[in-house]
Amino acid sequence: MTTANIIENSKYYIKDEPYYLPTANEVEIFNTALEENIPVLLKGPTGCGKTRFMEYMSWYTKRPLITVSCHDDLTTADLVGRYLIQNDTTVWQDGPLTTAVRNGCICYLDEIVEARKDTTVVIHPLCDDRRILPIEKLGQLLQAPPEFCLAMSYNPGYQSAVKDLKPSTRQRFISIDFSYPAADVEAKIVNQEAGLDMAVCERLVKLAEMTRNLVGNGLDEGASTRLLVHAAKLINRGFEPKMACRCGIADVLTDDNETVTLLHEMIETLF
Amino acid sequence: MGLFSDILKKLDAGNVKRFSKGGARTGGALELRQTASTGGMATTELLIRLELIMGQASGLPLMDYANEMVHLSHPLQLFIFSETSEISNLSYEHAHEFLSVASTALVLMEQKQYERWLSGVKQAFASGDPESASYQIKNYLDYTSERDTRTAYLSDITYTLEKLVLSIHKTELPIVAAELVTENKLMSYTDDEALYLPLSISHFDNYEDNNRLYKVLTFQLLGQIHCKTALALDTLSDGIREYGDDFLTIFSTIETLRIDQYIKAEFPGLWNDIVLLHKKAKVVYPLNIFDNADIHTVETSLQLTKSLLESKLDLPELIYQSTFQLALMAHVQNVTIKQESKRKAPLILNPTTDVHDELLGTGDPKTADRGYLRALKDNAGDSVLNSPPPGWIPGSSDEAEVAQHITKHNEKGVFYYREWDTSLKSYRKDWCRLKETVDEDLVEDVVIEDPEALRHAENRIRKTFDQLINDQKFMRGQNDGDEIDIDAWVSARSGKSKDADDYQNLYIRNNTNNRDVAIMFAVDLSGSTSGWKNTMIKQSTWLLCKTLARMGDQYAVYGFSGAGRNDCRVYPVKRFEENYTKSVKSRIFSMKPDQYTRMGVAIRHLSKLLGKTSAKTRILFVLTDGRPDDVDSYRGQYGVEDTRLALNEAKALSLKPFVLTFDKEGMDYLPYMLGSNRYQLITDISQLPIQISTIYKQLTT
Repeated sequence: MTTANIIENSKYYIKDEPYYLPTANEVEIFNTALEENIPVLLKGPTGCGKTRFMEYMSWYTKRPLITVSCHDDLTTADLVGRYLIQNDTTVWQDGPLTTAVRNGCICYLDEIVEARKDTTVVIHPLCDDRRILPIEKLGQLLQAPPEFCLAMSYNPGYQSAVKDLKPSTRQRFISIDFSYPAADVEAKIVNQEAGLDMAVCERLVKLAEMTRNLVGNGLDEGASTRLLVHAAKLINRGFEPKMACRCGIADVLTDDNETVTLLHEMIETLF
Repeated sequence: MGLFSDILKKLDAGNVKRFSKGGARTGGALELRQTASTGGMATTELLIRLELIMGQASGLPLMDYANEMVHLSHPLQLFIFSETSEISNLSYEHAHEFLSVASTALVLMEQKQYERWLSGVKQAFASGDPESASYQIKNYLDYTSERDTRTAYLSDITYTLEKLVLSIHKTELPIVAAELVTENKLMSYTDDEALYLPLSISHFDNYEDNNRLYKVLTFQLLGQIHCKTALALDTLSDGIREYGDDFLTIFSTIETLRIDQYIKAEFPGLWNDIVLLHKKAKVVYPLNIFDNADIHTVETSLQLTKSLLESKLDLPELIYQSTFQLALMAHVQNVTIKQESKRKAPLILNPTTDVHDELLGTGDPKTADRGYLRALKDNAGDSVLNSPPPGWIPGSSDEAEVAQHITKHNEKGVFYYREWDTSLKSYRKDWCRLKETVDEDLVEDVVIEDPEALRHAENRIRKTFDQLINDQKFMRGQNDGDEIDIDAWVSARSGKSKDADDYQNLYIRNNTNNRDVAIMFAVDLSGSTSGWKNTMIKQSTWLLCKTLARMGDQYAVYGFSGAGRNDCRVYPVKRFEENYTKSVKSRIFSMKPDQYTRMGVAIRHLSKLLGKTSAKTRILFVLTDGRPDDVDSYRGQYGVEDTRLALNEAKALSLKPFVLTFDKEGMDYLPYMLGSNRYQLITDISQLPIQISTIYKQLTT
């Protein structure tokens, strides 16, 4: 390992405490997983706080966090590393996963099911008791230090038959379920994030619950906590609540005119 | 004929509105006047078809109807036949009344008005009021009058209201037309299973307020359910006995005010609407009536009713006040009690509940097979094996039986499948006889009903699938392609062995379609899918097949039904190896409702066919309208368990099962049968074509 491969850790540390309101014992479970060197799988719908939780845990455990947003063209080289051309020669460049292993970071693979299945297999030896990362092109087997932790997230709400985790991948993790928080907790989160009056936050949460009841009936997914925060911020900046909910929630959720009209009707009943 | 001739003259002059689809309304009147020579059916053919629907000896002036219809275009003629057929299933008398005005009404009305008219007629039938249906058929002109612009119609707002209710109540409550308006009073009531609203509202002089009133009525009824109004039944009955109908009248107003408090707290936006309506109706709202108590129950309403009766205080009648009926409240109480007991003893998920025990010894001939099998297990098979039940092929060494077994298995197009008996906790070997039946009764010349509406759906489906097709992928390390693959070059240059082959694959190819999907559509053709459902299923299947042909995905469509374990049927509509052709289209439109839903055997057979394909992603897509059900006690826990096992067997073959159902009770058993995210409930069947394509996209991307 050369010094060039050591990251400037300060870049990856979370310095200020991110706002995160625990809903159950997820913090304790994650800490235990860290101590026991078990990788963690975060399951939950979009915008429910998975990424925020990871930031919070990074701050809480004082470990650097490297986040990779997965997509369907993500290759193994994108994760592990590749040779680049510099001055008519090739230079090895670590990928984010290798960097995390070398430096004992938390590596967070966001929306892992979006990545190609052959890509995900590279993490297998890292996720069992071997804790090694083979770097084929360098001919190296990189041993992960105890501080290294792998976490990944996915949204099991997708009904795609092709977007599913293989059992061989799945069974290397412990899982933390992130469904939407309880109404009072969610209202508190919105209130804290946007600084909006609690009564209005409660109405926003009610609107979100109404949209969530429509999943499968015109909506693929209900309004997330993140969307509520967006709408709350608009209201806080002086926008009329109905308008804020339309722009921040209803029109974001769908393009289907009929469903948009229905969402507008919901807003009308609440504001 | 006189009236019709007049209309035709007006049509020539261009001053009569036509029945047509929105944008196509400007195109002149000639389309309607097509005769046999220009596409419509001639009088003789019309007469024959009318006789087929109404019967030859009906004694009705069928020739007159045929003469009127001959002036219409072919699709419009088919439209009348389809509607007449549907009404004649309910009442011949009404079908005759409908035929006598249908052609004229069709010409006079816009499509929306025509739909409202028919919807009104059908809803009157549905609510068991044939007189009202008859009245509405005859007074079709009411639907063309000027009040249209200010009147809000239930048919226009049902979808929105139902979904709005679903978003709050979490389970669907259908919105149904209430009895007709009496003495200018709006009838609205609920039995906890549906919300009954007036067919139309023209109380205010503008559409917006009438529309608003619909919403308030709906929330009032929903409020009755959430605020448990039905609990007042006993006290209310006593009160009416003691004080007369005044007690009910005052209670109605008080309870409405209590529900208003609920609305005010939970839906402030709607409360603003209520305030606005009061203002427009010039009603002085008794604001402070509920101010003194913190929590208001229905008991509060009853106590207030008594005290107001004694103080003789007048209360205003609110326009959105629901119709409280003791009979309905009693019904609600019964339903609640049943639901409570059901909740305490779940049938499916409680492993200790054994339906079998209840069935044994009942003497019910349908349970004979199962009784036999239980005996077989208990007695280790010795004594009972001497008299096997019909169709039962145990693992016997008897040569004759084996020979018979082999003969049966050699029948062409016949397959035998095992079935899971949940009471025995074992499979019944070769229990179901399934036959692949190719429908010979093909529709030679398929005429698509309502092609304009389908065109809209088709465009939506195309758009959805285009997104899939355009979902381009880059393939790296190819020997030819659109771009140079720098990574491949670097890799080749830095590789330890300077293999010439490494320098061959230096391109990135923009691969437009790297999908590798095979899907099997299993369509439930049980008797319950008759009528409108069958039409929608056929249209959806047709549109799907037509558009899927462009995708390059392997797909097959099979219908399934049957009656008993020895008569299970699957109907190949399109096999994997076939292309989409005219005969596939004919087979789609020949799909008709059959008998029962023995789902397990159909799933096993179609899984086997799907398992033979080589695609990476293989999806078994079941479209059904209800739970597994067949004549020979294949229902309840037995049917669900067998279907669950069949689906598990499919999963073991690396197939991905998915169920799309119209069954509102589907949530009771689908999560158990399939696990999460492998099913979807469709509440509005008219959305089926679009929904099915959206789900297809979700499943395959």
